[in-house]
Amino acid sequence: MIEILNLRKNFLEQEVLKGVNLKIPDKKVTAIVGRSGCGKTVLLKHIIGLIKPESGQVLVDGDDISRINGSRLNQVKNKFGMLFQGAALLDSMTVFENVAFPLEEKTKLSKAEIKERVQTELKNVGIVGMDAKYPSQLSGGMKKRVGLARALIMQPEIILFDEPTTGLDPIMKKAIHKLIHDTQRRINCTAVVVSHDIPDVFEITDYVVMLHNGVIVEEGDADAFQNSANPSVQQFLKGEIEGPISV
Amino acid sequence: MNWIERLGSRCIYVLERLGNQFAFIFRIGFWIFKPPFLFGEIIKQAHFIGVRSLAVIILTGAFTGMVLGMQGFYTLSKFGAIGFLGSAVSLSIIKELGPVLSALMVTGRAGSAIAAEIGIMRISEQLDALDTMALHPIKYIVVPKVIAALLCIPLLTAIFDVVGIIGGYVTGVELLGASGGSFVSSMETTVQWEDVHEGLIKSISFSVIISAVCCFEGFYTDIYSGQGAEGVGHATTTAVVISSVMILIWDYFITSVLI
Repeated sequence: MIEILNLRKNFLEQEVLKGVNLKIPDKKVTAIVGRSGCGKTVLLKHIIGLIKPESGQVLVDGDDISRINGSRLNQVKNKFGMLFQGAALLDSMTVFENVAFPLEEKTKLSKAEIKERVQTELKNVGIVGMDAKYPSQLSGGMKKRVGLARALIMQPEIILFDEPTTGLDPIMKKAIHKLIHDTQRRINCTAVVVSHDIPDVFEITDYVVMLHNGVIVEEGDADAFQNSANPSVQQFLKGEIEGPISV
Repeated sequence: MNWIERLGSRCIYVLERLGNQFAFIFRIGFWIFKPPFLFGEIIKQAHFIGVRSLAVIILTGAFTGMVLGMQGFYTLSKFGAIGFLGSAVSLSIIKELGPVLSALMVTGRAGSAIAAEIGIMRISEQLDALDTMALHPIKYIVVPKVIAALLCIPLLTAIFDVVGIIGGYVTGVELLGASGGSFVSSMETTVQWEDVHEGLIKSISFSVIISAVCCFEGFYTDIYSGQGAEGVGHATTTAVVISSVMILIWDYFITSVLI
């Protein structure tokens, strides 16, 4: 269970998170939506401990990830997999090496076992015959798939997706959404998706959270969220210029 | 904001940056002795820093020695002391020019590339990706480069010294006509092991400066240099400038201690 309590974060004079409180349900897909630059990615990076808050807590199964370190922090991080916006593949390594890297560094599996695990994971995300290619030789969609394979290779309990469909064509967006949905169902993990891909993201989410002005302004299951009476939510969903959210 | 506030804020920025630089060196020191030891990556970095810097080191060493031989020949001939040409060339190179010029050349060739490589990894979130996998970026990215620099830069300096002395011999003896026997014997009698140690200590300390500064600038590109390609460019320039200036400043202080 991930629980966020009164999380605050400033960058210089700018207050990005102004007291976020949120419980992310277990074994479900949760979408964090909101305008560009509203702090969705900052919130996601707090969840995995990449950014330290000014105040507040991020509890992962009871451990406050911002206040632990050393081997305890590594144990908590081992519960996570993360797909970055640009996939963040190590550009000096091939597709195979990227996906195999966590296994090689963190397990004592034989080369044959690693090869088998990597091939299986790449096949699960629909990447076949690309083992020797470098990230610079892949399209945006392929990079995301390889990034997802790397995120899944250690069989995490929680997967974080940072704008997984940004910059992709509509067909590839659908394909990545389906992949996220199928993956979550297959391994029964907790998934958190940061997105402003409205309304497509609702097809794969069980729970939706909207971040605006540094706080959570609405949350609920996908249907309830879309029918929310909150004018900010309705303006965001309809993409209207006029409304409580100033452009 | 008045000038006192601006000065104060600048001082705080410099102190914070210095503090982070020393903390970064401390963290490298911590991770350098922690397994796993990434021998494959260290060899790869040694090839990049050492082998691929060889040509520029040989070229710089040869011409530095040759110009020293020429200047030394004409200066010493005014005092009738051409017999000391070997001493002058070899001591200048071993104690001073070899370590300093090798370090500056490696900074320009490999240090800038290190800062740019790590900077790109930072802005493309590759370092964050390692962090999320509970693989510490300093251990996996920085430490192999530091170890490779510590191994390669003293060796490059030794090569610079040998090539430089040969260059001085070629100009002084073969081109200008000084006595070859005097050149070698004056070198033999004046160059002591302490002089070689001095050069070695300098080159090791310069290795620490180059690797720590260049890795630091790349590692904190987003904080101190800015985002995107411009940030990486700025980080690279800053890495080369700070490393070069630090090498020259540190050279003065370490010389005054070792001399």
